[in-house]
Amino acid sequence: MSAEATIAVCVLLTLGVFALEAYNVHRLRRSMTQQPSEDSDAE
Amino acid sequence: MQSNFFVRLSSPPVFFNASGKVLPWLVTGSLILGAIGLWSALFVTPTDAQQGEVYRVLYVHVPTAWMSMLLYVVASFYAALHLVFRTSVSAVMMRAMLPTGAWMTALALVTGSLWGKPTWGTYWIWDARLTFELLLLFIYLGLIAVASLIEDERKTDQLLGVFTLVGLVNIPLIYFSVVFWNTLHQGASLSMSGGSKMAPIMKITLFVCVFAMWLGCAALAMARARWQLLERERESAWAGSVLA
Repeated sequence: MSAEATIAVCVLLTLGVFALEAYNVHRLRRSMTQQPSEDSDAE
Repeated sequence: MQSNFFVRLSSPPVFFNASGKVLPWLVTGSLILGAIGLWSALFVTPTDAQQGEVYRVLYVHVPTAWMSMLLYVVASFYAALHLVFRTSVSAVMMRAMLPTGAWMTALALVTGSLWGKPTWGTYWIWDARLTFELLLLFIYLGLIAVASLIEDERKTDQLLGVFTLVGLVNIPLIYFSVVFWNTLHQGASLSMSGGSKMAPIMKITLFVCVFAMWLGCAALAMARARWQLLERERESAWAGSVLA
């Protein structure tokens, strides 16, 4: 693998991990803010 | 005055509101510094005389490796706080560090491995620092497994706190491994005593990248802690008013 490709893979992996973590936190937030209305629907 | 501030911060509603105000600043700072650091790392810093272009992996590898250790130390700090004071805020902060810390450790191992192939001629070697960093990943994964053992998180907080503190012994082993043993991994890239041989522009760029990643990790951990705290305190009046 060329040096440029190695650098690109490392940078993209890092950005990808941060994006994934941000998505996970967003999902946690969404599950928290949506759950009460779903509970009340079930009742 | 200061101790009052920290005592107040251990109150869940105060923490929830205060972290909500700090978060946008952390995210904005991380994005701006990250963009500057990346631009400087790729286009401004000169090519290394010995390693060539591939040394630029350092601008990603060093910050992730530092964050993998720092997040564990912060998780241990909250673990100790939790074992003494048993507050919800210390428990969620301890838990919130773990996933981000595990990701940073995995990134440090993968980026180091990708850099190792052209530089050392191998992706992996059972060198002391690499081995202890791999052990750190297993510790993080073990703690995440313990954290999700029982649905009611409060029942595993104490156990998780004790396990986290036991694992802390691995951090000095990682940090000083290049001093204690004759390793293939080079010594510290930057040193507080000013012994670094890096060019000033390289050093500044590395610090910008480290600071950007520190802000990003702090934002992720704080945001996760916020929502986990809300989930934990769902039955309380303040959480009810937030969710209403």
